[in-house]
Amino acid sequence: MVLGIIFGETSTQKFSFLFGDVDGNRRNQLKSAYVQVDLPGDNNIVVAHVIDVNTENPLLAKDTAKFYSEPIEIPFPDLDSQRFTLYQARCEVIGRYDRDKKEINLLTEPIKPGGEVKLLSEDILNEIFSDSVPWHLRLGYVKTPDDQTRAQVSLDADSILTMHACVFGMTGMGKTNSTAVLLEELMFRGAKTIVFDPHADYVNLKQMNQELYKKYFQKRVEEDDKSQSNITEYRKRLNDIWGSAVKPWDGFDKSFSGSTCQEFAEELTDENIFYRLLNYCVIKDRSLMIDFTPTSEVTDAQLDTVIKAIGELDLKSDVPDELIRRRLTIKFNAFPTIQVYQGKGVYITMRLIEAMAGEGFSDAQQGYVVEWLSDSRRLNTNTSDTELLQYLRGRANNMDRKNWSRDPIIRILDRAIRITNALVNRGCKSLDIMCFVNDFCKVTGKLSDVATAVFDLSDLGNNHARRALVSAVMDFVFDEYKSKRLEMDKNAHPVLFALEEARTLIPSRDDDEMHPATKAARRASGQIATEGRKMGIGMLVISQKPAAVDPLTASQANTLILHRVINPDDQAYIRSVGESLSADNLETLKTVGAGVAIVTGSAMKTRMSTLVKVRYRYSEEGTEKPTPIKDRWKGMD
Amino acid sequence: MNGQQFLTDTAFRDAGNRVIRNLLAEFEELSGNELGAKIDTSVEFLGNDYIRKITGGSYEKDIGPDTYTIGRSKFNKDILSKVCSEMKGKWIISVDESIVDNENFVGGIAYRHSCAFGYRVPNSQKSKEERILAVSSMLRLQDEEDFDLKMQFLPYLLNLYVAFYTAKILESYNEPLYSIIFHGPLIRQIGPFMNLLFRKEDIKKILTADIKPPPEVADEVKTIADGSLLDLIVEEADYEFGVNRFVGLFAASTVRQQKIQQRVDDGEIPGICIYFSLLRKLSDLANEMNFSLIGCVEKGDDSTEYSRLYVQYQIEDFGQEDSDNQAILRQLFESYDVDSNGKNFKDQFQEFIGKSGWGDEMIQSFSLRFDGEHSIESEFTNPVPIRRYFTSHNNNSIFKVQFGSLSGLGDAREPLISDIINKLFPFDKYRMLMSFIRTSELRSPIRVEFLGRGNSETWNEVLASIYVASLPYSSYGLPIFLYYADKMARMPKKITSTVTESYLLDQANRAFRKRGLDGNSLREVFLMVTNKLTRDFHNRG
Repeated sequence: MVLGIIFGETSTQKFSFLFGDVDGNRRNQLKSAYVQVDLPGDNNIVVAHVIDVNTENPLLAKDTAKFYSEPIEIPFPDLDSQRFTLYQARCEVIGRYDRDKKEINLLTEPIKPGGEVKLLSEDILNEIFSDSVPWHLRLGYVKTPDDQTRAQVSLDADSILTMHACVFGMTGMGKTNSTAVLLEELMFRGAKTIVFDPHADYVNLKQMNQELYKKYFQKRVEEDDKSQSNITEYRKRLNDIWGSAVKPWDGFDKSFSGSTCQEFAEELTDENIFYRLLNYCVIKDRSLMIDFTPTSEVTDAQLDTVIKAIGELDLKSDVPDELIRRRLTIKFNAFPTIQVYQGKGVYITMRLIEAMAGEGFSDAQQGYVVEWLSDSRRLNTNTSDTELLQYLRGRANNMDRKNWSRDPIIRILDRAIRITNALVNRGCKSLDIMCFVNDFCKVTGKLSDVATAVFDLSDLGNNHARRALVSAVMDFVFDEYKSKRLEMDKNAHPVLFALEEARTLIPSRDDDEMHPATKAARRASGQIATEGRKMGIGMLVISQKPAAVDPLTASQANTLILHRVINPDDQAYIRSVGESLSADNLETLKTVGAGVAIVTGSAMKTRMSTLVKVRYRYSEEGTEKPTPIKDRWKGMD
Repeated sequence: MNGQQFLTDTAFRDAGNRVIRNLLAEFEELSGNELGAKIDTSVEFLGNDYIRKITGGSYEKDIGPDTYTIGRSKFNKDILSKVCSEMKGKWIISVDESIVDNENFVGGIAYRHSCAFGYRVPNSQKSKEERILAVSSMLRLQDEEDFDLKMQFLPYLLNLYVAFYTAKILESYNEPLYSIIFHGPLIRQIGPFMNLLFRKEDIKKILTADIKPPPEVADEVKTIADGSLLDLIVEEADYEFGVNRFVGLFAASTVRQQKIQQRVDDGEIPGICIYFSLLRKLSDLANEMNFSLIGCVEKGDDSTEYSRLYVQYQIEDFGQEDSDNQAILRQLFESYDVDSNGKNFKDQFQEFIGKSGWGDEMIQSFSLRFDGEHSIESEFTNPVPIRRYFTSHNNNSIFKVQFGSLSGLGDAREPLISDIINKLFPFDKYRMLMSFIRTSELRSPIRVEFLGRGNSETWNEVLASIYVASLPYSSYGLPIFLYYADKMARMPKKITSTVTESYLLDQANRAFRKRGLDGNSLREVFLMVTNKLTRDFHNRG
């Protein structure tokens, strides 16, 4: 259907078209719509995006309101020009789409005024913004005014993995969901991710959302023999691969064994096997993606098709064996072991102590501590953290009482001991970072087949301790890859770091900015952001306050997923880091609703920003959304 | 100052502010106290509504064969209802122009463009319809004498032509036309343009439509679209008479006169002759097709025609009413240091206008009221003849005032000019009238100029139609059709620069080919033109 006619000045980048009311119904709801203009002569069309709709109707001026609202005493004629009550839609050209080759190219000559503008067909929209190849992550749907389109938006996983990405947005606007979708999609496509998760939002990535499963799938699976047998067969296969007694942590860190055994066992339940199969099916056929957002309608036909596809999925030929046998997640509730790490020098150990204590050593104090650490013989992981700290404490105690450094050193060491003990009492485990890095990243490592390592930071109340953990893990990974002890495609996997609440982990500025742990975290993330690409180390930075995140790291992100952002500082920051964002995009960013994001950057199929209605995550949410008022009314009608 | 009026009436407030600004500018050397006293006098004069009292008086004046009642009136519901009913089912044409001047490396480039926007007011039988009915444009390089003056003058012709052509199209379709409304004066001040002589092809281009008419229109319309209107005009005896008199204007120098005669013999067109001929053609058509020909002017700050010619008698009458009034006027004039020695109030008022800067619009802002709260019956001044295109001598014999756009051209020339006007556009036959109407409380009164057909009742209907058409958009204050025309006529500078560039290339191409330059030389020139004389790797010389 023709929407309107191109009018006025046109260029290769922009044009406007006029449209009016049809049959008395206002059709001004075109903002964010995608439109097409047929080009004469060949099978090409110009594809464009409506950035704004306006009207210059003088009869709607505020001072005429009185005239139109009050009855006039004479038989007043109709003087309202139709031309001047039309709407004008400003459009941004995306490109020239070749229907035969199904590709979009640069528009090199302006469209002629007078051309007819139509709504872009869903198929073409789908082709422009999504790719069917398995290495494209299915983020969600193109957001259109009527919310009816099923055209998808996909992102190149390799670009996310190596060229960094950011997810920004105010609280409650869907950041966590978008991140979870990305992590899920990456997980099933072969990525290995280390997630720093301050609110335990991603600890359940391995599990199917129970509510969704029960509501939509459980009954269908029970009634469908094929899918049920596929689930059973898959479970059996995993059991065979993993062995009857799952002991991945033997020799790694004995303290983890018990909990991880239980975690892996959970992955073998019906719904979680179903979860794997569901994802593999969607990877194989993008049309199977279902949006479970509460506002979306899920049809029986869609669900039936998915169940059928799950039943027909051939695990031997449809999915690489390497992915089939993967463990999905492993959760760490841990702090870095305080020890002298082999080959890393003693400074790192000292930084860890400072971070745990929340206080730094002065230059003079550092001299003593470094000397003592160099003297220490604690070069293996078998002794406890407190042992090293007590050793240092002893050395400090032996200092001359008149030495001004003695008391501060003792104070810092005592605090580090206290905090370490408190963390252990709270259930946190001491994690040998070096050991973890090698086992997770190395192809031959004990955690080589684990897709996602989630560091649950919710128990590490102290920001410095969190930053110490982040900096230690990132620094060690970077160091191993940089020194080529680990090398992608030879003996190591590519790794993605996801930093949730990045403003607390790698802040742009902080009251205690000078604290060594903060500096170390920023330095570690900065070096990965700037040099990690060729080594196969990427960053996914998530924050509700983009301006508060270390700018060096965020500026290196080539893909941005932007939920609603209003704060002027954050807007200005996004403008500075988002190269392809127009002023209109930024304005839109102030008004987009929850679950909708502007996505832009190198991971997109067409390098043009678009509004995306992000799909609902399939995995179980981490912490539940707090509903304190609703809870008061529980059980009442 | 009238407090209530100052608060509620935007035009009154703006005019009051202007009075004080003018005073401050005129007497900036005075001390605070002296200046304060002058301001107090003016404020008191305005606050007591003396202007409204002065202009409220009416008197009769004989001009030409008719007698005019000068004064103030009010629209009533009957006349408003009548025009509302009458305009239904008919077309209203609004005409506006676009003026874009670009500076280029070869000098000034002027683009002029007129557009006629047609709107058919719907009634029970005919639906609403709107379209651009005519466009005429011209692009000129600064390549001749009096370029700036000519570029000021040519839009007058463009406007008249698109109006005429549009009316003819509607006539061809048997569509009733209610009025043609110009944005600007209906008749222009022509003094500065008296000497202009144009190449025939230039005028022909202006009298040619940019958009060709549909094939089904009458042949006459097609010839008008093709520029044949000029051929018709130059063959008329009155036009020839006008041209002869025009040559006489240059009698002071025999050599110059001979040159002008030669150019006229070669077919060049005197601006004044073609202007009045076109205006006459349009006026004749208005009479024939029974539509109103109207021009609407806002922001007539500089115009003093009404106050110099018509308000002076009201001042005189006011002064003669009683001694209190005389004291009030005397005090006002004295505050502006007007010389009262042996002068009557009329003469003192003439001097006062010059010093105070109280133009027509300011006086009418204090005089005409708009009471939108209680009624839509607004006020207007009774129609009076427009006298700005007459000679000073001609006006002085009626008003005893040296006023006229053709003054200063020398006594010897005045009879010739009068001859041209009286032949081509005789006032007795084509009465050009004007009124001030208060269309909105947000805007100053607008000046409405129109062709005075019929009697005073018909004239008031013309004014009422303008008032009705202005009501929907009160912050604009003009008929809403002019807003539409303005939007349609507007031409962005960016577009004209593209046009001018290609025009330049075309001109350069022709010129160089004429001189037989080879391809390489041409290429260099084109590069220079298209790169606008930048010096870079490709353009070294």
